[in-house]
Amino acid sequence: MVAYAELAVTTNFSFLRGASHPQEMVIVADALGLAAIGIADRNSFAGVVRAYDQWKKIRNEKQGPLQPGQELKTVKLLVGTRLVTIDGFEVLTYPKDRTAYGELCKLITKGNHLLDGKKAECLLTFEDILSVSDGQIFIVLPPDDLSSLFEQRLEALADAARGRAYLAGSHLYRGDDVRRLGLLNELGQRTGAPLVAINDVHYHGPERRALADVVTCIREKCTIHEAGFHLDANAERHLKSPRDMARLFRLHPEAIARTIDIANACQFTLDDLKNEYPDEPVPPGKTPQQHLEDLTWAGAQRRYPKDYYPEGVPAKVQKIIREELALIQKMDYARYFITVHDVVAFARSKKILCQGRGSAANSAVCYCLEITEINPETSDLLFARFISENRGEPPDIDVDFEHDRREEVMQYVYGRYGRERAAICATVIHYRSRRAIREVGKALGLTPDITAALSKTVWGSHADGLPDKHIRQAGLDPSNRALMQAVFLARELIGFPRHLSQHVGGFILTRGRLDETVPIGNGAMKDRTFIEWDKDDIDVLGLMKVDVLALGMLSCLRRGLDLMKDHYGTDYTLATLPKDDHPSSKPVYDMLSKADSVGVFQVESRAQMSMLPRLKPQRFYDLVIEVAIVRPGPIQGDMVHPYLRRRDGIEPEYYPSPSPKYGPANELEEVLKRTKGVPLFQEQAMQIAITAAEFTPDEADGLRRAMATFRHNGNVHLFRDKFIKRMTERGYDPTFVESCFGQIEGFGEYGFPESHAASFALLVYASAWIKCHHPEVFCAAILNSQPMGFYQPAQLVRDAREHGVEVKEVDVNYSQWDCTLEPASGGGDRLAVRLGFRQIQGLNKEELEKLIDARGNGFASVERLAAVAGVSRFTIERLAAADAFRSLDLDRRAALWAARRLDTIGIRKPMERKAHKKDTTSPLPLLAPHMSEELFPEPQISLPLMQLSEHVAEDYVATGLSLKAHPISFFRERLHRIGTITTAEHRRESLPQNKRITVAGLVLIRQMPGTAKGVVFLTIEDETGIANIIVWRKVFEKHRHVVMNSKFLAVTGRLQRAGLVIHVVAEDFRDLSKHLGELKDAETSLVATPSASPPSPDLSLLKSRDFH
Amino acid sequence: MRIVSVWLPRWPILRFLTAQMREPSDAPVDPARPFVLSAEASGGPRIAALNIPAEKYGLAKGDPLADARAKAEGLQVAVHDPVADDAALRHLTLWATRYTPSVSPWSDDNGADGFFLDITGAAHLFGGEEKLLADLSHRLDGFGLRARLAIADTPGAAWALSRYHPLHAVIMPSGQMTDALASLPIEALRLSPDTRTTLRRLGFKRIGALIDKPRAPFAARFETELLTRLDQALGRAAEPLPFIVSPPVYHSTRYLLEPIWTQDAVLAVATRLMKDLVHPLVRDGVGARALRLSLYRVDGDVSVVDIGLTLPTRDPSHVARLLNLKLEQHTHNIDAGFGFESLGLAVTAAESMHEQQSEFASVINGSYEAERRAQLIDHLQQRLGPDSVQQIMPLESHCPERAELAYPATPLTETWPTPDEGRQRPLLLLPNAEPALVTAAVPDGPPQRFRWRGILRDVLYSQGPERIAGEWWHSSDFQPTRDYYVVEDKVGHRFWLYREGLYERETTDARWFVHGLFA
Repeated sequence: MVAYAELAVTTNFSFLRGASHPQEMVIVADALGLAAIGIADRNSFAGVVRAYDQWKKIRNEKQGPLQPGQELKTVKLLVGTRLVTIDGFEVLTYPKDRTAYGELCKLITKGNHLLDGKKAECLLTFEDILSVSDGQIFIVLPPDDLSSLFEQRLEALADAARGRAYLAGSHLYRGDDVRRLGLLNELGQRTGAPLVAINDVHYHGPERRALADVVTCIREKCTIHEAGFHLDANAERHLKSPRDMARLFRLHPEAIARTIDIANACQFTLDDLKNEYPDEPVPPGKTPQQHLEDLTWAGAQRRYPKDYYPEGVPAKVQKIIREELALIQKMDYARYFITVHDVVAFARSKKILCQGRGSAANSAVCYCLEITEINPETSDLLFARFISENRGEPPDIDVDFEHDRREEVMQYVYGRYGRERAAICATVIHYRSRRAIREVGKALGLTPDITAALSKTVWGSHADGLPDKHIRQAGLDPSNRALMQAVFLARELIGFPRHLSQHVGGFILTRGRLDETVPIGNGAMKDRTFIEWDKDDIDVLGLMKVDVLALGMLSCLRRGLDLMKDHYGTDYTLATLPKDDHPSSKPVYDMLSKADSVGVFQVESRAQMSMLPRLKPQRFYDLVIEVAIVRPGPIQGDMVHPYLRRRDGIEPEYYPSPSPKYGPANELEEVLKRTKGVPLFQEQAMQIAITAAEFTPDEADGLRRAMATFRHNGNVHLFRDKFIKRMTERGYDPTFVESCFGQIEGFGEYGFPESHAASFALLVYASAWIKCHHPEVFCAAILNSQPMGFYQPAQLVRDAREHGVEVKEVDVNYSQWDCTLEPASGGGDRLAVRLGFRQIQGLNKEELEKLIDARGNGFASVERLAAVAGVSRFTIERLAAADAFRSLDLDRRAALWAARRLDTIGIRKPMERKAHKKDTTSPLPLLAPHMSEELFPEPQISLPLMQLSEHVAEDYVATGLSLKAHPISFFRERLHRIGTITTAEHRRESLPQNKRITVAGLVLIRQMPGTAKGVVFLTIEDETGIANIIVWRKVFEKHRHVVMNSKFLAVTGRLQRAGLVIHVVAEDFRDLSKHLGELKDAETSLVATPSASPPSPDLSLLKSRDFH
Repeated sequence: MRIVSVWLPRWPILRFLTAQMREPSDAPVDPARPFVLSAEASGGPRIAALNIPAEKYGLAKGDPLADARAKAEGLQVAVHDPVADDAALRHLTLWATRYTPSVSPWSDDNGADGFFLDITGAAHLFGGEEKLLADLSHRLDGFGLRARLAIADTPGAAWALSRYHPLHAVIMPSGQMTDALASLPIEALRLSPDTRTTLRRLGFKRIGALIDKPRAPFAARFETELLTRLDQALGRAAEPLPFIVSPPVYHSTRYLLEPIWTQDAVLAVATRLMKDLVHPLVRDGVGARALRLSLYRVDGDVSVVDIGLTLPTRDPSHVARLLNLKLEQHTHNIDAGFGFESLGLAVTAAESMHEQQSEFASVINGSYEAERRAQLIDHLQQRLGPDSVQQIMPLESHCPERAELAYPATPLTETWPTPDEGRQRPLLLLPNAEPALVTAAVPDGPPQRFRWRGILRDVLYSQGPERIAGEWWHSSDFQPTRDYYVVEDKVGHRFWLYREGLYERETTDARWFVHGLFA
């Protein structure tokens, strides 16, 4: 049989050009018996790793059943690219070896670097291509009209790459193919670039033509009816069998034969890229392993100082370290640990708080290297499995850094390794259901209304498509042809890559030049460069990735520790905060057990808060469980209640076991002991798969991957069947088996391994400790770290005040930019929080710094402040709006009245737009210090007196909170009349269970957790506290509009109490939002008619946070 | 001075709905359900105007459209057209010249959703201010426009009252501005947003709080705008209104002794009116490109007939012919009632028109041909009706029978399509492909001989195949792929044949058709 290699394959990583996944191409090419397939996307290598991964799978599958002596026959995979110059010269380029590949990567990188941060195509010229001709095989794609310029270039390229240049011919079915191929053959002979057969494949099979047409329309921004000759006339751009190709090129059999020559000449494969870890931080003369061992043991000495450990490093720890080091040596991962250590050491030297997590992070080595703070001596974590020996996958350590200082770390990494060797990995943005249906609908010429209606029905249903019922519900006709086509095509489009974006912080580091490994592009953000491959690709190739992530809580903790040091003289770090063995830990656990956790890391959410009183954490490991248990995995697997019952001793600990003939009864005890027989962590689920369902580590890994992407592909059920079948066969209780798998599914997207939970638990403990012992410090620190977490400043301040902290308002004479601590009004040990200028929206930090510098002993008047501090009138008006002139005895109106005059009396230049940005010079600097308001007398105007309610409303607008009163208190009288009780009253124990009550308040939070199907959780707040509302699906559907849009809401429902947890199960609602406007207009009730638009009250003054 | 202020709340919505009444669409907007007009803005479309049902859903001007759709299910959306709004407002304002020649549509400062009438000394013509206001309100109602009206001594005060007074129609007696305005919110002063919010923040929420206060402190704190607007409203400062006048450059009117109602009579009068216009048109060297005939009914109603011309003209009989056509189409729309008491003809668009001395130049530059073509089309259309004359335009489609489109001819087409060289297409494409019996090799060999219309032909030469797949988006039925061949028989006739259906992939029994003939 004739042999043929398809060398022109465009995948869907040539965005909106190819209509098949690289994997599909490889599978079909192999099935057709092609000798080789060359993946060549447009100026890119973005899709080759996926093809490579698929190719490896096929090879492994075939290798299994292979008889000895039998030859392994798979399609060969060639890695190439289709270079397209700015003036339209197109050439398929295949590097023969690693060096040539590197040159190509550099070329594309260079083209990308011309982009200047803008999203455009890679800019290359013909000369660029000539410059990298060494070691490449070129297959030039002829244009429709063969010009003399083209011929010249073809000749030039054939000269430069003698014997390695070819001219591509494809059978186009345009009627004149015989003549055209003849001409090309002749041209090839004349120029020394002989004809080679290709089929210019854009999709794997002819059935993809419709989708190919649609992506063309999306690319050309037109509808299918307008697309005209942008579309191909036929469906011939698919992979064809060698027989078909030979028939089409029967007049040019040598063009078919050359494809094989080319395939044989290309020796480069992606295997050549592996394991190029940098060894920068290793001092000369040492091996990385030696260096790591030295660092580890030195770190161990610091971690276990002689003062506390006269015996030296505890024997248990020493043993673990030795085991881990041996494993690291075996796997040759020393460079990885050293590199992470290097980054973390930099952060520590800059006093940037950080903490590692990830599969390898909770090792004793990482503790000694100060990457993590989980002490192996006191923690029960099992470390040996932190690296899967079998998988040969690189270790994974994610490091969280303080949110606002992460950029410094990133720039350090760039600086240390250079732009050529460090870059962020990509995130492939895929078409999701909504976007797919919208763009397909547009391409098919459906009206936006119809596509909007369709995309709405898609919402929530993922790969399972669109049942007719849903379409009918959207008011559309499911028998409509265009509609059906749209739905069908959209389903095909889902999962297609759309564009590359940059990953949040995954750095790829290499020993050699990174731009010789993969093309690098510029990110939308300045100073960011990223590569074309995403983290799955990186995993496949085994490149080294270090995740540099940002975490707001770390910023908050650093600020808290600093404040404690400054004001109370304690010098703690995350590692040295008093732990379980210290008496100060007890009140911390007591506090958490009462669900008193507003602002505390991870456990401040509604779900966590209702779990805390049930779990009653008493020690650190309880926090690890607390963090892990309120997650989709355990909830979906129905693991929560069994765990709680066993913990409370209601139910005995019990370990499911197989029937005795298959294995020891306690095979799962080892896995599940720490969690009382209930799997709560991701690795436990995997361990069950391996131990109880006898998955090979490879299968378990496949399962994990299938889970992580189960929305994209549907092969989960294969694992499911296998998992359930094997475990039931081995005699496990089917209910247990089912719930185990349910949990694995839940882990899929929100996986929470024990090591992550442990790292997070430490932050839970640290934040809770500060909040418990120094609520004022915690309040200031968390306000200074906003935005973060679950709650608004208003709730954080309220919580602090309820814990006896005095909070003082922002004042021009006392505040700093950040919130600060100062002596309380009534004296006493506990300091008060002074709100900082940062609470006022729209202020410029530098300008306020100037004001603070110029303040001296304080300002006596608005005029003096303006003259001396040189701040803009905009800023002064903002300060007045926030009521920050009280120390001058001016309320916001008086201050604003004074501020408005500043321009006229020459202290400030007339306000221009954005003047606050640059205009900070006073026009009369010499006169300024002597100037005073007395110089400019004017008639007294008595300003209308301001109601308290109005002050409160204005406080909310300017700063998001008010210390004067709660907005709802002004409605109490009226609320009382409609039978509403306060939230404080609704917590009274005398109220009977199930009583029908009405509470009202501002809507703080709306939540629609994915695990609670269709149920909405509301949190409302009045002047006495908060109430938690549950809205069941049916009620929600009836009141959707009110529930989703109200800012001020009265809820009538049944009281439900379980221990400390109180809910109101809603039955009816009353939207009171419009009354909020009355706060600002308390003294006037407008006579304006409904149709005249009255001055719209600023309802945005109260924002809720919505979580979906 | 006495000024009428007419405020048309939700003018863009009203305008859209009235336009919809005139030109019904397939999917009309239901005014009883939420409806918004959207305008493009940075960050996606936003609401530019909305109707009352939409307001009830809590939507507001400026909301992002996406949010609005989420809030109000089944929200009806159309694109806001401010230019059309402006034009319509101007048009309506011109209509109001029936009350006074001094009319002024509101600029953006005033909201661009109403107009002023200066009726100083004119109210008595209508029986006093009350009657005038009632008449105006009644007529606007008749147009489907619910307006809010006010009469006051100054434009500022009238504007304020029409917008903020609870009554639909208010007349403020002369000289009582201070009292009338005092209780209105400061927004009634037409202030910039910055001034407005600052005043509110300072606690000045009603105009009354500003009147009689010392002026200097306010002058020191606000741009001149505040005091100017206050003075304008109170009549302490003048506010000249930008009046518009109708621009009938060429216009003639006939008042008839006896009302007429037959089409012939109307045409006769119209022809005379056009003759009146010939002189001024010649004088200015222009011809009419668009004309408007206004028919004023005895009961005060007006009908309008607009005609457009392909080339400028001054020929009364040509105009009469076109009018005749137009009136015939419109007879069911134009109700003569008790007859028309007067007719007016206005040139609404004029274009320079030069006497042609020689056609030589135009032959050279090709405009001669275009002109002749235009004349031919004009004439054919006058005789056969506008839709009977069609021209053909090439369409981008691979499918031969879809590659052209016939559409009503317009005489203005300057360029005529040139044939596509890249694709070999027959001179004659058969209206329907005709089956033929063909001998050819499988799977995709060219025809060797074929029988068509009873005649057996041996193929001497052939070229192909050109493979054209069905346009899947036109039908959900499977459309087989075609392989086209150009073939020449022994006698030298050339045919365009295709095989329908690909072997193996689509069919095992391909059929053949003749689709066209070459010369």
